[in-house]
Amino acid sequence: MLRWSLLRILWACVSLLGVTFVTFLVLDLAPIDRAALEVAKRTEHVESSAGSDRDVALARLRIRYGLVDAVTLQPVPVIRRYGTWLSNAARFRFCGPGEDPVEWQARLLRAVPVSLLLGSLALVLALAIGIPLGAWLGMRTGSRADRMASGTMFVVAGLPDVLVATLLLLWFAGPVFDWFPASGLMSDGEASGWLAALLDRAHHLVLPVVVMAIGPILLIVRFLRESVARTSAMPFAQNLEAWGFEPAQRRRRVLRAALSPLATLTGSLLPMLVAGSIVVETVFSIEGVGRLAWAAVQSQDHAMVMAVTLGMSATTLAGFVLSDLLHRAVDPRVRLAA
Amino acid sequence: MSALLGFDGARRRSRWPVVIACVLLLVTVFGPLWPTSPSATDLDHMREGPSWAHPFGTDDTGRCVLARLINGARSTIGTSLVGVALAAAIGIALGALAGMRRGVVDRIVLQAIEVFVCFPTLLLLLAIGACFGSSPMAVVAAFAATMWPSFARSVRGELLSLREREFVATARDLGVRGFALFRGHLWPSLRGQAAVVAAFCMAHAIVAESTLSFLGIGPGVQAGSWGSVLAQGKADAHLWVWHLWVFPGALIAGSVWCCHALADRFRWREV
Repeated sequence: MLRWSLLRILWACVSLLGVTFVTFLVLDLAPIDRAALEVAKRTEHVESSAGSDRDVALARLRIRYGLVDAVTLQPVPVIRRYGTWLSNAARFRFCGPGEDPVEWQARLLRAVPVSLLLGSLALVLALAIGIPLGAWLGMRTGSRADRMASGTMFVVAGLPDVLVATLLLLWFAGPVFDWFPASGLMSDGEASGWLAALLDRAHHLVLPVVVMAIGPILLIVRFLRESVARTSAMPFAQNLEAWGFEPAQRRRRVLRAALSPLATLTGSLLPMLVAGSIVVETVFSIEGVGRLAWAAVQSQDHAMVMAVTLGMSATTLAGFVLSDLLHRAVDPRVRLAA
Repeated sequence: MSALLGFDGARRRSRWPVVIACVLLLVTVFGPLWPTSPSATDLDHMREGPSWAHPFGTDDTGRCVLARLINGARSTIGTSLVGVALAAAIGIALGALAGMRRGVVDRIVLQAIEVFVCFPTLLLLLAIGACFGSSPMAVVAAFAATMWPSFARSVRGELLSLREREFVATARDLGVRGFALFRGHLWPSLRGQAAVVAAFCMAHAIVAESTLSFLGIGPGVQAGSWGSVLAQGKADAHLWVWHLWVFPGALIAGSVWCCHALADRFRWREV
C-alpha cells in the first residue's frame, strides 16, 4: 500500500511537470512579442520616441524576460527558458522578472481567500443538497418522483454556467426582482456592526454560490442515486429483508454501504475549492482567482498564468491521488484485485 | 417537444434530437447564405424587439439578431464539430494503441491523459484564445487538446476487456493482426461507446465556445457567436432587452440538450 501510494504520487509529479511544460509552450509559442507590447504601452505616455531608443528598450526587455541571452544577444531556446522557470519555481519564486515579489504575492493572496470562500460554500451546499436528494431518489428508482427528477436534471444539465449566471442576474438582481446585489462581495460604505456586515456578505454570496453549486449537485445526485440503487439490489440487502430487519434499519445499512464511494467523488470535486470560476467571477464582478487568471492571460502576464495553472493543476492532481487512495482504503476489492 | 424534455424512456425513443441536430447542421453549413447581413448596423433601430424585418429584434447597434445567430452557428457549432472530430481521431488512435500494445506505450498514453485531464480547461482555452487571437483553428486545436483524453480513456478501457473475449482470441489465432484486427473485430464493438463520448464532448464544446465568446475571446466575437450575443444581453441587463438573451440562451441550451439526448439515444441503442 505504501509503495503503491508513493508510486502514485511520483507519477502525479511527472504529470504536474507535463502540465507546466505544455502551458509554458502555449504561452511561448504565441505570436505576440511581449517586449514590443510593453514598449508600445510605455511610449503611449511619452510622445516622441526615437527609433534607437525604442530598439534599446526592446533589447533590455527581451533580456529581462529571458528571451535573449544577455551576453551573446542570441535567442534562448524554449527548453532552457523553461528550465529557468522550473528552477525558480522549485525555490517558490514565481513572480516575473522585474516585479516586486511582495506586491505580486499580495495580489495572489487577495484573490485566493475569495475563491476559497466561494468554492467551499458551493461545495458544502452541493453536498448538503446532493446527498439527501440522491439517496432519496436511489431508494425509489422508477417512481414518479424519480422520473420527474430525471427530467428536471436533464433540463438543468443543458444550461451552461454562463447562461445560468446571466439568467439569475437578470431575474433576481435586475429590473424584475431586485432581491440580490448584482456585483461584488460587499456593499460600499461602512456597515454598522459585525452582524450587518456578515449579513451583507451573505446577501452578496447567494447568487454566485448557487450558480457554482449546480454542476456538483447534479454530479452528486446522479452518482449517489445509482450507487444506492445498485446497493439495494445487492444480495446482502435482500438478505437483510429475508432476516426480517425493519425497513428503517435496512435503509441505514444500505445507505452506509452506498455512501462510501462518495469519498472518491468528493476528492475529485476538491479543485473547485481553489480554482474559482472565471465565469461566475466575471458575471458577478468578484475579484477571485478566476478573474486574476483571466486578467493575467489577457495582459500576457506569463508569470501569473504559470503560477495559477500550477496551483490549479496541483490541486486537481491532489484530488485524483486522494480519491485513488481513498478508493483503495474504503473498498477492499480494489486492493485485492491489484 | 415533451418527448425531448420528458422522462428517460420517452427521450430515448424520441426522434426530436435527430431532427434538431440535422437542422442545426444545415444552419451551420448554409448559414452565410442568409440574406440579411449580420454586421450591417442601423442606428435608427437600436435594441428593438422582434418585428417582421428582424424576427429576433436588433442589438445595441441595430444589427439583426437572427442574422447574427444564424451566422454565429458556424463559429459555435462549426468549431465545436471540427474540434470534437479532431479530438476523436487523436483520442481513438492513441486509446487503441494503448489498449492493444500495452506496456510502455500504455504507460506513456496514460501519463499524457493525466496531464491533459488535470489542465484547467477554461484557462487553457482562454490562453490559446488570447495568444492566438481570432483564428478558428486555434480554438479547434484547443478543443482537440482538451477533449482527446475522454476518447482515449473510453477506447482503452473497452479494449482492455474486449481483448480478453473469445471472438478476439479466435480472430488473432486465425492470423488477423494489427489494424485489420482493430478495424474488423474491435471497432464495431467500440463505436457505440465512442459515439456517446462524442455527443457529450460536443455538448462540452458548445458550452466552452459560448463561454469563450461570452468572455469576449476568440473568433466568435466578430462573427456573432451565440455567447457573444448573450454577453450583450447581460451588458444591457438594466435595460431589460429580453430578446438579446432569450434567443441565444435558447439556442445554446437547446443544442446542449440535443447533444445529451443524442448521447442517451446512442447509449440505449448500444445496450
